[in-house]
Amino acid sequence: MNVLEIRNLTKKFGDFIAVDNMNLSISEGEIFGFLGANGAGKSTTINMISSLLRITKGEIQVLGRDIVKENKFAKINIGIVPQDLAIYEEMTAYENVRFFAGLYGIRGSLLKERTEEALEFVGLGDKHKALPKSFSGGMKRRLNIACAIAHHPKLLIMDEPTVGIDPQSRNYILNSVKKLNQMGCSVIYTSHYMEEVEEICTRIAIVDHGKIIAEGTKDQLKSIITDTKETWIGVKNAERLDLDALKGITGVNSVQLEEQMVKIVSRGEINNLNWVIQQLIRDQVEISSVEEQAPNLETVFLTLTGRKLRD
Amino acid sequence: MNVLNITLFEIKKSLRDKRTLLFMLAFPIVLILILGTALTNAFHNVNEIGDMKLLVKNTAQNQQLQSYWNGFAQAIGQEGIELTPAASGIDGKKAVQDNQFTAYAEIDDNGIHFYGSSRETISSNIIQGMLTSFADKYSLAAAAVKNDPEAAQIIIAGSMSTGSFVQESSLDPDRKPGSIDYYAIVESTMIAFYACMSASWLIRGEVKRKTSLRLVAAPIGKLEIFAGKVIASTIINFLCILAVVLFSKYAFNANWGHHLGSVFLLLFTVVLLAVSFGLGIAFLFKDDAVNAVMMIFVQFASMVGGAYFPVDEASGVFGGIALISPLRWANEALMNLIYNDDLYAVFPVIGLNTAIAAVFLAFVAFTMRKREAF
Amino acid sequence: MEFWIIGNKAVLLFYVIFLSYSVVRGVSPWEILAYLSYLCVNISIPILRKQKRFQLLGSVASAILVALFAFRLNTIFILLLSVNLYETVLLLGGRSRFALLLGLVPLFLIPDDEILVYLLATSLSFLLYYGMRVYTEKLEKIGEEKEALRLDLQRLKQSLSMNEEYIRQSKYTIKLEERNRLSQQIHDEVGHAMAGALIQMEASRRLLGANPDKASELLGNAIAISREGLEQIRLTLKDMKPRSEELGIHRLRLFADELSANHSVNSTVTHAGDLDMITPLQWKIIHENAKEAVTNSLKYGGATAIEFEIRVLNRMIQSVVADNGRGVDKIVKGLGIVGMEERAASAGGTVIVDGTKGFRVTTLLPLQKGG
Repeated sequence: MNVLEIRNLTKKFGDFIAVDNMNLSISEGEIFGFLGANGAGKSTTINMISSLLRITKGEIQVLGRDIVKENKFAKINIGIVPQDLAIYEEMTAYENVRFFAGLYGIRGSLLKERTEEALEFVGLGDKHKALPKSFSGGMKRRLNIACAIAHHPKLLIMDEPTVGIDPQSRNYILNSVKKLNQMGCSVIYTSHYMEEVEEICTRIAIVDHGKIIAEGTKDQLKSIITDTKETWIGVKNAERLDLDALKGITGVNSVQLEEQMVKIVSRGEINNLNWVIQQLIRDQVEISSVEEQAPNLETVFLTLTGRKLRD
Repeated sequence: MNVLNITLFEIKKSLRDKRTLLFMLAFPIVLILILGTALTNAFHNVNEIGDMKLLVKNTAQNQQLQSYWNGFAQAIGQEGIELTPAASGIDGKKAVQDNQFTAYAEIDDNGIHFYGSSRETISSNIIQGMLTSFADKYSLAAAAVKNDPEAAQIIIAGSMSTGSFVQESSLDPDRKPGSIDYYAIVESTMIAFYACMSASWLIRGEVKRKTSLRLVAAPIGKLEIFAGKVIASTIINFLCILAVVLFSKYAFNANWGHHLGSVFLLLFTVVLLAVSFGLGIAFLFKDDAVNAVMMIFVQFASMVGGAYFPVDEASGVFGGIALISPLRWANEALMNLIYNDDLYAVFPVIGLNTAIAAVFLAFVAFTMRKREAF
Repeated sequence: MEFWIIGNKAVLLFYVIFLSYSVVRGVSPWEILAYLSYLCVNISIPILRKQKRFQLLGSVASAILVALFAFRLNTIFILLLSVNLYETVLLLGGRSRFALLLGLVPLFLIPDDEILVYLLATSLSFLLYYGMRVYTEKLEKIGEEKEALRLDLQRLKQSLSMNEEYIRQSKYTIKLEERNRLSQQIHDEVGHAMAGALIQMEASRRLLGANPDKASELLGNAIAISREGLEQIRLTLKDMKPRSEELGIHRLRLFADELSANHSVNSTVTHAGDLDMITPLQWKIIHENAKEAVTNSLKYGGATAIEFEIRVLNRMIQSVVADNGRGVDKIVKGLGIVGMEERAASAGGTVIVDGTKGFRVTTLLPLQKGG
């Protein structure tokens, strides 16, 4: 079953169309990435999924049930990590998580257990009694996540959860997301950091002006631009090179020799660098440099929308 | 259940906010103390009159007058008036002006010259009254001596007995509030109304902190959040008032009358009114305007409500304006309750407060349902 | 920082009030007025945080008030003076030594029995002032350092990304030059081959009568060289040959030229990728959308230049019409945009209209590979 199903979703603010007839489905176990510049409609979509905004047209289903008709069901199964820190600075970490989990109808010893579990999960197990005021940016971000997962949501929506934190905390958070995903939680993830999306998302949608303009795995997205990659290998004694043998390697489309550089164009999804290098070694060619040029998501985004992700 | 959770959490949160709490407790107490002691003279209570000091310069030659005067002096001495014979060379009027004495009297054969303090008008009036009655009786006795000396003796003897120079009934200390009593009442109602300021942050604060996102995303109704917050805010502010009232009662000996239950009920409705008023303003105006509107209204209501100085007989435009101050209704009802034992005075105010609160709350609940998010 | 000054003032004020109550019972209304005006002025100082000039004014006014009260009402008021003096110095950013002296000036003016307590109040206030000054300066310094570091970091980051861009650019340029050179070479070689064939043929004609065998051999050589050369020319020039598929892009160019001629708009057409992949139906959509977009640009944009760009990517065709006009912040969908969207949707594509830097209409159409 699909965790999330969006059909013809539209959101208007007056005359302005923020989300334009969007269709999307996310199946269970996915980490789904939303890529888009500011104002592209990501947050509006997310806010409609989490019932913060009303739907102008279209429908959203969570676990097969309409979120307007069965609002409570949808809410219980969704956890939301807002872009801005949404915690009470004057309450301890434990009280924060406990309060928000309590809103989801969890009571008594289970509440205590879930609160402790969530704090432990984000690595704040030893900070129960500490006030968020004393936390670093990364710790606050982690607490922000803990508040969203204590009620064990089936779908976790994370809106820029790693803004402005140190690399260590970011890695911690990314690993937590993966771990959560392995535990059976589907995730919607938005970020400005292309590398993060590339690293953790199983599927990605590029959103611009309220529309999904491309969608798929990162390889599928890259293949929109091109499905080949170029490997440039700098060589010292090119005359020893057996070009035909190189062409015979799986995935290689063409080989060209340009002065001291060999340019090998091969299919993007195949990793044949090992074989190429083995061949070069067999030919007793001295390798001075290896560079692979494959499109990344940033180029895909830039090419399709004509804009940079971060303006 | 959710409402209870939110209420408890909100109360806990308010208790963490030491600064606001301190303000709500210390501000009225300090005001009661400062205004109550500084403006004592405007209220004259009984203790003050016990301290009456009279400076006397006696130059009378008449033996009879002298002996009568001595008897009189003894009698009023027993009533707590301290007589001091003026040393020669002392300017009596100057001494009174310097507030060393309540009044100054010069006695000679022609009569008594009286000079009272303009600072302690009531005390000097009392002394003046006593001296006038002494003078009357002495004239009467002097006239009687010519016809019947015996009768004159009786007149003087009768008038020398203690207490006959003062009519106690007009000075019942319980019927009128002293300054501490007055300010205890008005500052309590004022601080009860201050609840509107923290209440205006109940929802705005969540929006500002972004926690409103989580609240809206959680499977609870907006009205549950709203109810929880209103209840919590009312309780916490009411507890502050309770503390202020009890503190003023036991530490300052402020008079809160015999119907504490009704007093608290009235104060509770004032808090409720303030909380719903604050919420309503927060929804009616844009973010920045809220604070200004609130501040202006609260200060204005406090002023015309008598929180800084008594406004007994306001008339004309001012009186009309004063009527819209909720603090004025509350203060008047409380005065009536405490000093006239008028239980019925509080019920219309309680009803009015609750009704206005209900209107504001209904307005907020309605707007909130209509709004997206908060 | 303000809290400390307020605290300092409050403590002294309470002391003054307490003293004047305990010594003389019943204070005159003037004194109450004095307390209240002192409170008013000094409360307004922290409130006016944003306007330093008014703060300064408030502080000086308070000092004058206090001095006035001290001489007219009650000497005890003088205790409040030193805080205000220090506050003024602090606001002016003056030196500490000067401040210390300033605090001592009133010493000569007050009665002996107040001097001790005045000294106490002044020295405590001075300590507070001094501590505050030292720590604010420290804080400011740290803030400045942090700001400088941040700017440094930003500059470094910027130059790094500029360098990267430059490297990428130059790599590309080098590649281009390299290719140019190569093609030049091929041309030269073909030219040489042709020249060789020509010479052989000339020789063959001369020898035709004398030595037919030799002539036939030379002619055979010439034919071989020519054939080879022709083949090479064909290979080299293959991409330059106009093809029927290019009619699409020609039409677009024609449209752009007309635009330049009829309106004062500078228009350019660029393309990248294999235009063969675009089907006639897709060309139709591209043309119609381009026309619509141009109408839009001319109507609202105030544009002086319009750029057409067609790129054939691996799985998508991207056609962009961008102008350099005003654009709009928020696009309100009119019939034109809806029409473009419907046309694109009929071929499974989408249209993005962006108005942030002039109008930019992008039509994205999916590309069927091999189909």
